[in-house]
Amino acid sequence: MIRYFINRLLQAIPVLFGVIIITFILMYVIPGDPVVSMVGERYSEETIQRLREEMHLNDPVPIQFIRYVGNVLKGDFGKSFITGEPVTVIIMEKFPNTMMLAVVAMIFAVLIGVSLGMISSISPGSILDRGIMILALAGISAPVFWVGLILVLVVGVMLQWLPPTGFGGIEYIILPALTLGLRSAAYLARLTRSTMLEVLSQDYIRTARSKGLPEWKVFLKHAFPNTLIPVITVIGTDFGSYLSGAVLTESIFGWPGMGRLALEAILKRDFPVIQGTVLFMAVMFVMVNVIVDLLYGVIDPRIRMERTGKQ
Amino acid sequence: MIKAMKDPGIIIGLSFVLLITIMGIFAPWIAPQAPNSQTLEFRHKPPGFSGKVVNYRLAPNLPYITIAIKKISIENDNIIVTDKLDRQLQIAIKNLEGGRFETGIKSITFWLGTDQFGRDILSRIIHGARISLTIGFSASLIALVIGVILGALAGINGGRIDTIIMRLTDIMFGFPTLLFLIGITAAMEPSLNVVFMAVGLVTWPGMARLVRGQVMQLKHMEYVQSAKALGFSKTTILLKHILPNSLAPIIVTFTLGIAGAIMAEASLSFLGLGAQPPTPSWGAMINSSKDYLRIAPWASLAPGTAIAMAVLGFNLLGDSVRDLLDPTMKKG
Repeated sequence: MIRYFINRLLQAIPVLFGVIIITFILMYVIPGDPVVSMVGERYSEETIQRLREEMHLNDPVPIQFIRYVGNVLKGDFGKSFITGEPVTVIIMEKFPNTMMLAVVAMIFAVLIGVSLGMISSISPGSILDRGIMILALAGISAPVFWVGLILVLVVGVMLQWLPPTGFGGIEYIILPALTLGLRSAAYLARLTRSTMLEVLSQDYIRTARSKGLPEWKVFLKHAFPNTLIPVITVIGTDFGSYLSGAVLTESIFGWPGMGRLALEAILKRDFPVIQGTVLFMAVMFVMVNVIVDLLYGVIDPRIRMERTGKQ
Repeated sequence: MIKAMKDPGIIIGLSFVLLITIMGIFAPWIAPQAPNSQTLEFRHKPPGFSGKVVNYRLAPNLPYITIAIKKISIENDNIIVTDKLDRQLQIAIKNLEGGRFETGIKSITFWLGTDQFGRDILSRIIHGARISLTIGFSASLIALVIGVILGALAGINGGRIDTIIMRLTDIMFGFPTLLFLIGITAAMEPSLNVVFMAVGLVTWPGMARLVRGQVMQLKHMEYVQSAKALGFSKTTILLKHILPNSLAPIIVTFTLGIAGAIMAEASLSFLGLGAQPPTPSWGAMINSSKDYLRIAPWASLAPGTAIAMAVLGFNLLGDSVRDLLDPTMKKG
């Protein structure tokens, strides 16, 4: 068990290093001089040269890279060109909002997805089952921003049940969280259904039925716990991208999170913020995946064995 | 084939894909209006709205202008048009579109309504199909080429090459896709060319892993082993024996890749990082009309439905083909 944990953690290191390299390269690929974008074009060539010198931008690239890695390891992402605030401070200000949205969205997704999948699996092939599965496929294919706009229009504008956009109390989080969680919910409904159908055909379920347990008990006590695996799979595939900023959802609902921070930084060419947020999000993404893999190992010993065996 | 006809997934998927393909290929002929032709008097008209317009030009070489009309009368070689603001306008019949009264004056029905510039949404959606399809295909093709080459290299060689390529895919997977795409497109001038290249460059790792898995699995097959014993080169074995047998999953992944690329293009254009106005890209259409959601919801909802249908179509098609080709591969 411990070997599996350590192995999985070690595996993440090259990935994280690759992420650092890419964010470093990003700065060289994005057109425009960082200094010019910081001070504006009205400054003289000498001032810009002096600033370049001060920011060590004239050093050889490998030295800049080593300094960059050093700073990143110390948790120093530089300062925003626009506001002058340290990037770490900005990120820490926005991240809780993103975290909150991600958690609520995932809770919605699990509640809706698992219950629809369970209902669907009660009588496979029925109209109800087909209806739910078509709905689920539509949910996977519908663009996030479109779903968001419909919710804004119907719930926010026409029915006026909830505030259409903005940030504040609990009523503001419901629509963006539903929008963000919809895809996971749809995916989860499909996964839960297929898991349940597979489980329900197994011997121990037949045993449970033959010893006279009522159907609902068979369902809830014996089959239901198996849906934990699809739940973790979906959390694994989607939670990381939620945390790394739901750019689309956040921009529709005006949610002040990481996604909008990154998008605005990109549009304003605020280099340190772009670099910092992208790196931070990628690290979050990788870490969530590591944690999910570890959870798999805890829940299902077969996965643990298989994966340790391969290395 | 008979089995295929019974699967509602493949029928719905195929009909959506066909519909969008036809719209894309024949856009200029089937769209009732030009995608960017504006009739400002008809801003934000609801679906089904009909209005009378006159198409004319001021001189033979100038482009046609469309204005909405309230009243019309003929005087010798001229027509007198009263527009919606009760302004009178005299136009020579020879300057009307087609040079005749019958061709210059028409009644237009906007089946899906109009946007904030009085453009016909249906026509824009039909033209948008062309953009979505082109981006979807070309991006998925780029992912296919890179993915097959790297996946095959990793699978056939194993060892250090395999490790390097697989670590590379790990790193690519380490980035959230949309964020990666936003980063790349932001680094360039926003345009559709950047979008399809970026999507292709970001989405190949899935294909690479699939092909690698196929190659690893097939290279231990007896027929591959015997080809090896006969002294065929790795390339020959790969091209003649392994890849043709992996075609089915590759096609499925390619089809699903088109769905993903269409969604990615729409998302980027929605954020303003893809197609630029007045290009009738579906995502860009939603972006430009979302501020008028309260007064003209159809302007955002119609292109959104188009995106959903396109993505659903390719997803269904990919899923059903996979189930048909390999019943053991259950859908998730």
